[in-house]
Amino acid sequence: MDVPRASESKDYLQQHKIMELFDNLTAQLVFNRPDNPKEFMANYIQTLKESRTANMNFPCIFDETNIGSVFGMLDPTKKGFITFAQYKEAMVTMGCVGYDTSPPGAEQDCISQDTFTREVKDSLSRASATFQPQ
Amino acid sequence: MDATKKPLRIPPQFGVYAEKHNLFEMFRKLIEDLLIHKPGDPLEFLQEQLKRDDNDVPAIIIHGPTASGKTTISKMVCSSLRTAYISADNLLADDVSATAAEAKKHLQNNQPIPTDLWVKMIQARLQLYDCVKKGWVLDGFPETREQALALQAVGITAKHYVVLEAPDTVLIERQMGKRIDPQTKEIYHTTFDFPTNPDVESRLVEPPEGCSETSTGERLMKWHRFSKGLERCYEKYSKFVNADQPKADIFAQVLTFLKSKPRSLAPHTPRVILLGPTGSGKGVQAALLASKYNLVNVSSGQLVKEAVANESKMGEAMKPYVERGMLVPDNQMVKLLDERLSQVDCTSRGWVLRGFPRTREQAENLSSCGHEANRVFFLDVPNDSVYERLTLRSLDVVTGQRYHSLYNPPRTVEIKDRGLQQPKDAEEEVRQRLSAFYAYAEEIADFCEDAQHVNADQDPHTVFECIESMLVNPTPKKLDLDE
Repeated sequence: MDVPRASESKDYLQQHKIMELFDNLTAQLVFNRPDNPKEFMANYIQTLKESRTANMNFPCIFDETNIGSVFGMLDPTKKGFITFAQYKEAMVTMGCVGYDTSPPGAEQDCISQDTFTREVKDSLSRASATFQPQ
Repeated sequence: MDATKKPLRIPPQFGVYAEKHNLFEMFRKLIEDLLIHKPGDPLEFLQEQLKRDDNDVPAIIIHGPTASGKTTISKMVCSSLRTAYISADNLLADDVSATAAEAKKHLQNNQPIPTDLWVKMIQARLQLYDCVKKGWVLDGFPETREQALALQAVGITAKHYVVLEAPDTVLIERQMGKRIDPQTKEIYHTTFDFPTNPDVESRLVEPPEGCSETSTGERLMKWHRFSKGLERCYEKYSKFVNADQPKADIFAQVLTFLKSKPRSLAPHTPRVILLGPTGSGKGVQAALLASKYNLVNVSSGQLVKEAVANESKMGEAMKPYVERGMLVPDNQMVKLLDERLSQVDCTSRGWVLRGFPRTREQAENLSSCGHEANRVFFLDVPNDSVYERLTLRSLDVVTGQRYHSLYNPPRTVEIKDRGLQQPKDAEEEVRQRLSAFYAYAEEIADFCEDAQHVNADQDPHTVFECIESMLVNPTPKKLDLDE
């Protein structure tokens, strides 16, 4: 089944995170539905290139207020903590990659907002950095 | 975030959006290009690709045995599509390029030109502005499967591959009469296409490749040796045209093929509108489509009746109109349809709508609600057939059996005598419905530019097959020529 050219191509896609890039592009298109998708995609790649040089500000559909409101939804009584199960579910739903599976507070089953925000931000930027690691 | 209570769905509008902008094909093309070229920096490469304005230019290969008329047809296609014309001769005639000079050296030594040299020449030619901008027609090249594969490996592949075919005897006869005007390079034929101008006639010479039977036979042998291999390279988008026909006929067939778009793997939810006069078989076709393709069969009349019967708010508002036998106002109708077509079964399975729109305004309103059909069919049927189909129907009041005095006549005189006609089938009623349809048919046709016409004056299953083929294949491209 695996001819050399096929596995070569698969490696290439994996190495440069092409499929992840296209996933993110699709997410952006679903969310924004721009009139000119080509131009929009070119601009997205431009910002991605810039953030690759600066190694920060990766383009992502969630920003800090979104993360805050997700936390608010999980913690409607404003205790300032969520359970570990909620934490895991939220990570999966937001499409985070490689998040910390034993964050501080996991043993006590209460994860603070700071930990949550930091983890989401880190893993979202990992998910958005769709290029070959330098 | 419980997916069972509130399923996480992609908004249905996105499906329409993706289809409108052809996102699937765009993504496929981008990834394909990435895999062919494997650039070191894919981001840079993708940006370049996206900044190009238009990728939808013709890329055509026209091929065929010697004297099949491929050059003539290629030149006709080029002039009507305004694309670049590329053949082995004009690639070699390039004086500037170093590769062409190298290739000519091979020719002078009577050696075949190596494949990589050909690929280099064609690659260089296709990067020029006219090919990128307007597309290209490759005449009689690649000659072997090896060359075709080499071209595909560097990402050069045609969107349409046309093969002109004719029996060998015809081709040999053609070649024997072939004459060339050395000044204009026009091709004439001693019997079929003789020049009218006596000056040209005196200039005619035999073609350089010779027109004897043996040399033609040799070249035909070479064609038969390689043609099967070539076919395999391009089998997904190839078309065989019989070359033993008048030039105009061949050209028309080739052009129809060039208008067709290749099948795409993109997910496709059919959203069909059937338009046609009363008695054209919209209901029958809609039912057939719905059962075969699992579409939701939406009929505007049915919807109104349902709403009234349910005594819903909207139904109550429509009731007075229905009771008086008037048409329901546009805004209520559009609202009702919007509600129906937005339901999950319609957005996920697709729908087939009939009895609506009746006017251009209704069509505009419907598409502004986001329910844009991707196929619109006009069922064309002459008025005489409509009368024949509708006014001759009768109903046996005793058994409830339905009869048609031509297609399904009652078996005994007794049954015939007690048959009654539906008041809706009276000739006067039918005439009114027909004129109501034709009053607005033209303006709807104006609005639905992609509408396709079907001859509905045939057997229902023949009509269905015709509709099916148009539903399954992509809508043909509008070529901006045809004047």
